[in-house]
Amino acid sequence: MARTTSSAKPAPAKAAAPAKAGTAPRAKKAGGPRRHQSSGSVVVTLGVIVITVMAVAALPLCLLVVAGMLPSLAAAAVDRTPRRYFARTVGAMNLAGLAPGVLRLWEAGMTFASLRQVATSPWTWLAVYGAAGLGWLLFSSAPSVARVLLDVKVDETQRRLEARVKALVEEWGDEVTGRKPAGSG
Amino acid sequence: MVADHEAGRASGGRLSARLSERFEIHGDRALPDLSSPSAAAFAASDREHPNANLFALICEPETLPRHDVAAALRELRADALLAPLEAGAVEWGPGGRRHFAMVFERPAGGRVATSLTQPFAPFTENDLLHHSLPPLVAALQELFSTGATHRAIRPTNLFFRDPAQRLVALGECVTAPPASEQPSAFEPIESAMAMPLGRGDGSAADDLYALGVTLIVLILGRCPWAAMSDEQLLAEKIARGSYAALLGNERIIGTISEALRGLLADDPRERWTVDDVASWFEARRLSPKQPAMVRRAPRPFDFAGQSFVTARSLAHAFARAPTVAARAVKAPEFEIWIQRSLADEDRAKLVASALTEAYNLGAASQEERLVARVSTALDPPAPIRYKSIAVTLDGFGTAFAAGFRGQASLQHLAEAIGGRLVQFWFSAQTGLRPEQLSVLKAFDRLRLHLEDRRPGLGAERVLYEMNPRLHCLSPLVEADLVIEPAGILPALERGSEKRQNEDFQLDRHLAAFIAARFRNAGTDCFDAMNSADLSQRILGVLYLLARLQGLKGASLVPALAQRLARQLPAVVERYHNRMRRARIMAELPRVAAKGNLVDLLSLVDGAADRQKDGAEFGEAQREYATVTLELERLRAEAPRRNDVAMLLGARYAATAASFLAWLIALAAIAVTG
Repeated sequence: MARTTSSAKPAPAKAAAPAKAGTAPRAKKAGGPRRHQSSGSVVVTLGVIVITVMAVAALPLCLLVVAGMLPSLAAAAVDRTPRRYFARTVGAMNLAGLAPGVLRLWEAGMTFASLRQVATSPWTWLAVYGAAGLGWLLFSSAPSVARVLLDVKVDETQRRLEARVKALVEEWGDEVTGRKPAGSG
Repeated sequence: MVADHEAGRASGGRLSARLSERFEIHGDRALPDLSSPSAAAFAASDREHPNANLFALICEPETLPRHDVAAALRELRADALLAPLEAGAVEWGPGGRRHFAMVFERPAGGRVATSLTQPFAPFTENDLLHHSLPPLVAALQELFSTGATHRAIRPTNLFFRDPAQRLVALGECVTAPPASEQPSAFEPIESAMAMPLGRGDGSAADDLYALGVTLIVLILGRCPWAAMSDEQLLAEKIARGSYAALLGNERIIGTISEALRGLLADDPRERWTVDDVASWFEARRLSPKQPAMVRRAPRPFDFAGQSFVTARSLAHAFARAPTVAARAVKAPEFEIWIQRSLADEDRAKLVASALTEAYNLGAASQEERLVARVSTALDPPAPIRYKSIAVTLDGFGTAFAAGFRGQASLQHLAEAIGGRLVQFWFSAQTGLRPEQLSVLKAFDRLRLHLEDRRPGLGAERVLYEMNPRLHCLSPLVEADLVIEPAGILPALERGSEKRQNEDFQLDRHLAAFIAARFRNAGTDCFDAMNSADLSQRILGVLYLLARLQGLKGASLVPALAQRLARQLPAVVERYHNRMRRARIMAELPRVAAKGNLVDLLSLVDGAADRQKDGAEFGEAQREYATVTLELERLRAEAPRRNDVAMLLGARYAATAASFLAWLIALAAIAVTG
């Protein structure tokens, strides 16, 4: 992208400086979503590389992880917010739920027999999807809690400020407001 | 000059007053024979010399005594001149009002003439030359040596000093403005043209002229001009000269006629001086000065039905009818008459200048000013004549005082100064003396005062600048006859004791009096008194009075301070801090009761308090602005609080999930391991 900006047609010599000044913000504006898109692509690329490496090195583990992380993939797909808090919440809990299964597979050896043993255990999937569900629940209930906390904090600040305003007017009169007191002509 | 006084009604209703703790004035022993037109005479006694034969003159409140001349006369000891032994203010009458009083030695032989209309026994030339006149002339020499003039020399103001009625003394000359009580016959032509209260101190030459007229009356035992009105006599003097006009068909023969001609010369430069008269006594001969010929036009100028051949008579007629004269001076005939018939090049130039300057004025009363200038141009030594006034240069002060008393038109006097008639009068004079230049500058300054209507300036300021010894005419202190600034606060205190419930208002007279007499008062007080803000005005008054109290020997004024304190809440409200206001208001009665205005001022307008209040108020205003801005922001953000909560919740959830994930992972590793 940077190359695209810099490779734009050079401005006429007379208007070189203003043209340069003008292009910089345009490049910046254009760069915002592109960088975000770019970082998303990097994550996807990295994910594909990791899965590929994992599939080559330990295919059973790769299959378990891919199957276990399906809720996270779904959350990532539906979360279009810039910071992807929903995906991060579900993903973190999903990963935590997958950890015991992965550890059991590790202990049992990276074989398809071990994979079948782990994958056929309902506890494994209960842990994996239950944790992901907890993540979803946590994300859903957090705004209500935050609202309550925010209201308490704002109300207290407002009360304190209003008390100070009253004290200032009592000590200095209406003149302190900067408005002419009534009846002062 | 400040006199201690004591007055009161003793048992039996007797009225008396004590002057300077020495002279007792007996109100029950009136001496009408010794009274002056503006002052009643009463018997007086001296506590140090009980046998002294004294009388006191109590001046009318409206008159303006000549304090400076009285002070000069007290230093003189001339036998043939009634000089005050003591002068000052005393409480006189049931109202407790103060009057100027002067104590004199009582002449033994009574008044020479009680009236100018009643004939009396004439003096012989021998009596005059050997007994009466020499001491009078010696007294005048003494008087003139002090720089003062008498300005009240007339037969009715002469007294016999001895019971044999041979020795004569000049009467008092200090109870009224100079020459204000002189019949115009006794004044030289220029002074007679002026109104009585605008004649001014004049010069020794004026006194010698009056002496000459007095001698005529004494020799004849009557006034030969008695059948003529003042105006007719003046016209005769202008037309024929004073000597001929005054004597009419009478003839005075003998050596004294020589002196009379010398004393009655109409040109002051040709008039005998007092030294000339003294020399004449010694040698009995003096080369008589030849009177200068008055320039007469071969062809008369007709105006108002009369024909005029001299510039002076025409100027006099113009001044008496300015509206008609305005048309006459604009007519081409007047210019032609000036240039061809009068044939006086200097006068023609002056008239042209008067016409040009007057046209340039372009204001109301232009015609009257035009006539006033032309009259001055035609007759430069004459007084300034404008509308209803006719004033000599040094008579403006007394004329202004008369204006404030309603005895002359203040408006016309102010217009004369504002219209630069004085400056034109100066430009018309030949050979200005250096001291006259300073007078010219003073009039320029007075004109600026007159145009400025701020307290401490205006016509009132002009009045006090022109009359350095005039007492303050403010109704607040007028009855106390305050002459010095130090007398103001005690007088205000006395008034405040009687008017404790009234608000104190410093009027324009008092402001102007203080501004003129107390230069250290500065101008800031007067500027504050002119403010539209009530608190500024009150503060200006308080500052002014506090500075007066700072004068040496000033006393405490609790009654005045308490009156002022009632108006001070408006000043206290200039403080922003409510607690500071409450503290000052609580202290105000206690400080006011002490009567120290400086302390009162420090309390209500202390510099440190004022500065602290201002700084703290500024800080409070900034804090208020910040706090209200924050409140506004909180209120503005209320509708978006759900969005904020959503965002915060998501962030908290993500953070909590990450934390939990690490805990679970670690726990799983621990359990497996």
